[in-house]
Amino acid sequence: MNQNERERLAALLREAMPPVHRELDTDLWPRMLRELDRQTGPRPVPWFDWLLLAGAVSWCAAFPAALGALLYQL
Amino acid sequence: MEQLECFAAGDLGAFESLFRHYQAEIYGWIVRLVRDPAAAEDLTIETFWKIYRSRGRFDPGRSFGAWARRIAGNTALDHLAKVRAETGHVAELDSEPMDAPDPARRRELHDALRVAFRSLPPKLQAVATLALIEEKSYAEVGEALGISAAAAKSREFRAVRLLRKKLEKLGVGL
Repeated sequence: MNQNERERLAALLREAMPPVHRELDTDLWPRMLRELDRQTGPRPVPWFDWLLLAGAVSWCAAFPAALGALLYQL
Repeated sequence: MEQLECFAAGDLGAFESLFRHYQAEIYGWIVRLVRDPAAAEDLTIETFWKIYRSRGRFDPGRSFGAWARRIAGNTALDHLAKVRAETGHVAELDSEPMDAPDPARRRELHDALRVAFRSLPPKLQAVATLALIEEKSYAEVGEALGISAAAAKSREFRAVRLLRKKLEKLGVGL
């Protein structure tokens, strides 16, 4: 490939896909803050943890006498 | 304490100052690479999130702009690869073909060029976009993509060679 071929291809590419001269017309900081909140905020509790909690509560309700044993295990 | 040191230490105010100062420049680099203004806004946010997350590894003695441009370049490359894997092409801005003696032939050539260009591997596509379309220097291309100027030149050479082959397959001679 010589320099002329490169220049010809570059010119054709610029015709087919003109350079992008797009200015940022909005302040992205509010979106950035929301992203920071989303990424660093408290994570949702997994459904399995809720299931485990529901099971423990049901078990305690069904067998109140076993509550002492459960607390001892904790 | 200097602004960059404050940022590296996790100061949100320092990060905001840097964000406001560099957001337009980073967006400009990304939109040139991905050629999709809406995606470029999302990728600018993603880039700055990566910057914020990596603040502990930033050396305040070095250039924040160069570091940010490199992260932006890699983020844009990841996007190009993802789009290519999902749809087989990248989004294009509407473009008006230049006046030509034979507009139909010109349009065919442009279509073939776009098809060939979209099918380039993302790393070659990124270099070709910046070097051939945006007319950036090899040093600037290399800095944005985290490679040397020599590597940028080499990738451009491979991109041009591959483009010519693809165009030949499409029945277009240059």
